[in-house]
Amino acid sequence: MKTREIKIKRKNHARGSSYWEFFSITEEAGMTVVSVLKKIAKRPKNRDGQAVAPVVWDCNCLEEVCGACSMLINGRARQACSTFIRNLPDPIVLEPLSKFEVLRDLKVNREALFKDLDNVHPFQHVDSFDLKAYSLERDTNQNTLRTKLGECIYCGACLEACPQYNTASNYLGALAVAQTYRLNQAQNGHIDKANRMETLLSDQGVIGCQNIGNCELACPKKIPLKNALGTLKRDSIKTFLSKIL
Amino acid sequence: MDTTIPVLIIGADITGMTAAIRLASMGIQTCLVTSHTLGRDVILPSFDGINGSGFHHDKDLDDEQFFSETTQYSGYLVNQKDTQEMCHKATAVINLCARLGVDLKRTREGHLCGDSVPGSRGSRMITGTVSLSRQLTTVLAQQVRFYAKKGLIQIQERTEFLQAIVDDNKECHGAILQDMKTMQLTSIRTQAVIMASAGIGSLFGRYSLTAHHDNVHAIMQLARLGAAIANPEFIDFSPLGCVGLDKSYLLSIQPLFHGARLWLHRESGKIDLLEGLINERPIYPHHVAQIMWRKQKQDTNISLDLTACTEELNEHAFLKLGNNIPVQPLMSDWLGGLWVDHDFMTNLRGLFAVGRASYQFKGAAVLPGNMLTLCMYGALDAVDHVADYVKNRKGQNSHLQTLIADVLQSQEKQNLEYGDLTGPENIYQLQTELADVMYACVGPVRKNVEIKNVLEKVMDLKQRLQRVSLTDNSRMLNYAIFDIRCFDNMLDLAGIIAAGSMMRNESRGVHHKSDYPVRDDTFLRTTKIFCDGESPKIYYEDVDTSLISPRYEDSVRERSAS
Repeated sequence: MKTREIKIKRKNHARGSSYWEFFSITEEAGMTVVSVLKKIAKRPKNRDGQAVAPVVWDCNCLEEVCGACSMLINGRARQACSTFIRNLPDPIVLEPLSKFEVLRDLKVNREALFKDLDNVHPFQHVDSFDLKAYSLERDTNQNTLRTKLGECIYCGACLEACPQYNTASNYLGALAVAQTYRLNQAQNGHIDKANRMETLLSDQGVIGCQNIGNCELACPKKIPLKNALGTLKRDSIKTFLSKIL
Repeated sequence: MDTTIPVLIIGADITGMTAAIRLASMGIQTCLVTSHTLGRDVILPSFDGINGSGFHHDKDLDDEQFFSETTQYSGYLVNQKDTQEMCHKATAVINLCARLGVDLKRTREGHLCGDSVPGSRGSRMITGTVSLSRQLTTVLAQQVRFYAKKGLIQIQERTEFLQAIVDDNKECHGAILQDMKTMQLTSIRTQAVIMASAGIGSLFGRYSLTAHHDNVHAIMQLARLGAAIANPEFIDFSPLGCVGLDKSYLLSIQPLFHGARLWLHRESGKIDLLEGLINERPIYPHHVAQIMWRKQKQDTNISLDLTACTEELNEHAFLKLGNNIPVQPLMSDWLGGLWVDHDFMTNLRGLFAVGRASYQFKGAAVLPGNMLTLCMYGALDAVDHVADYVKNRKGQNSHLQTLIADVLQSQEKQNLEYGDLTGPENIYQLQTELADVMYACVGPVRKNVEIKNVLEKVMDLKQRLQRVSLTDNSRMLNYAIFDIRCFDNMLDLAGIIAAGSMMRNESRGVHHKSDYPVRDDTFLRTTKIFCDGESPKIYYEDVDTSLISPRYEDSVRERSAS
């Protein structure tokens, strides 16, 4: 049984200041970061034996589907539920995502992510929600990139890793921009396509991406974001040229 | 703070969002409450696939066959007319998913491509190219945001439901909510309340396949006010699961069709093959779970071996896991819920329950691939009744103002009481202990003697709960105080599950008792439990079996019993 050091960046409330707190726990086989935080909650005492409030963090599905438990683990944006601590060096450093508003401890408000997404019209127009007898339509547009983009769990890891996504720039980030590709390819995707391309051509769009590629490395679902952004760059140039000619 | 809105929906998973969107498209304003953020309420991460019929690859598949399989599978404990209607609409649900922008698995020509389902003839399960429940949650959340911008849906994130406002005539007028960000209690006045999310994942802790925050708190609060709980003893267990430290992970049942073997590793070091599963058609997962459970009780570990699988399985990703995967049956979902009538209304007028919160189609959910159907179909069907109810509802109760003030005050008082608790116990430790007892005593195979342990443990934990100390004194995002409140309700529901299980002296579908291994059709009735009094009162209600009469075909069950 190995004892592991945990270093957590804490914040008592949204307007408070951050501080570091150290915990030590005994490692068990198959422990993830979530198990560590749960173990701390069962005996909420820091390394010096002082009783402290249990760490607050976000989690839901615990199998990398909901994207709720993103945090900085040893400096990298990862999902707490799928990060096993046996692969991590000591001490394990946990911090909240830096590009979003911290609510408490490791819990962040990612409303900004969905606000950004709104700029690319992220919904399909559905004529009605009736369950009438419709025929099952054929969809011949089978595309691996589109399928892969459907795997996005909206965790925000790509935004955390991207140096271009910050308060000084209008760039929407890889998440919203890459999703445009999938939205345009969907069955009713053509309806809002013109609006989406307009966003892509503005300073919020592909111009902000500088081909750094951190987003693809950070993505927990291994979505080929560089490929998607590259394709979109070509598409937006085509749209631009057809506009001026 | 006091607000008024026509309809309040509690829970923003697939069911809640579908209901909100449908009501918004009818022009009715709703308030959607979730304890998470919108689009992250993926309560059923491992439920993937929707059953249907009339596909290009198999034109012979029909809805009647599907209905009869569903009924047979559930142990005939479903209301047949309602279930038949659901089965007939299942293909329309698939179509709705496609129109919403969900990527479904298709052949190269673009036709839908089905997967085989255990217990069903033909390949009728349509899956997504990636997790279907994740995709559905995403597209529905985007639709909700679209209507929210139009002002038709009011989204309340990080808000917990505390209590419904119910008057003496058993009529529901709204709810008390707590904003976790500010810890403020607010009352909300509505014409109708829709309960859209509830499961018992948290009762089973790490032995459950559902999400972490899948808690029973809301259902039990409503039950205390007079809503009846139906069929609480039916809990579905999936045979091939891997248990982790925080939760369990589901493996697909597909390998059993394709020649996978289960090995028994006995304590003496002897290794045996678990026989009698291969060549058994149709394979019922809950029977496999029951057989595995018996073996597991005899100090045996079970592992899944995929070496003998046919080539069809090669596409499955979990082949990477190797050939010696430790598996055990794990809790996949609760088949009980709030009792509802044909219009999805509970005993409390104005309170509706749909999807996983109601018992209505839950029996059908034993057949893999029916869960998402019942969530979506249930929501869309119920909403029509809700809209009618809202339209015809008569004037408000004149004493409502004082009633709301009373309920608000009592809830605030309760919060303070929970906050004042001191002692040596830790709430998260108690949760773990409850989960261990639940898994050991109300597992796939039960015994009356063991079920008594649950009742004893519940009594013990109730007393220890009084000695819990609140580890967190913050005025913001303080989940410890809410967890204590939840645990109080969890204990009550654990007691109800045990009581219901104790009374049902037979084996039917997923409910299997080793003392009573055969089906007894005097129990072909829905258990209905009222918990508003001192002790729970159990009634039985007849099931609609007008279309298909019960038959006996449980060969695997009988063999395993002998």
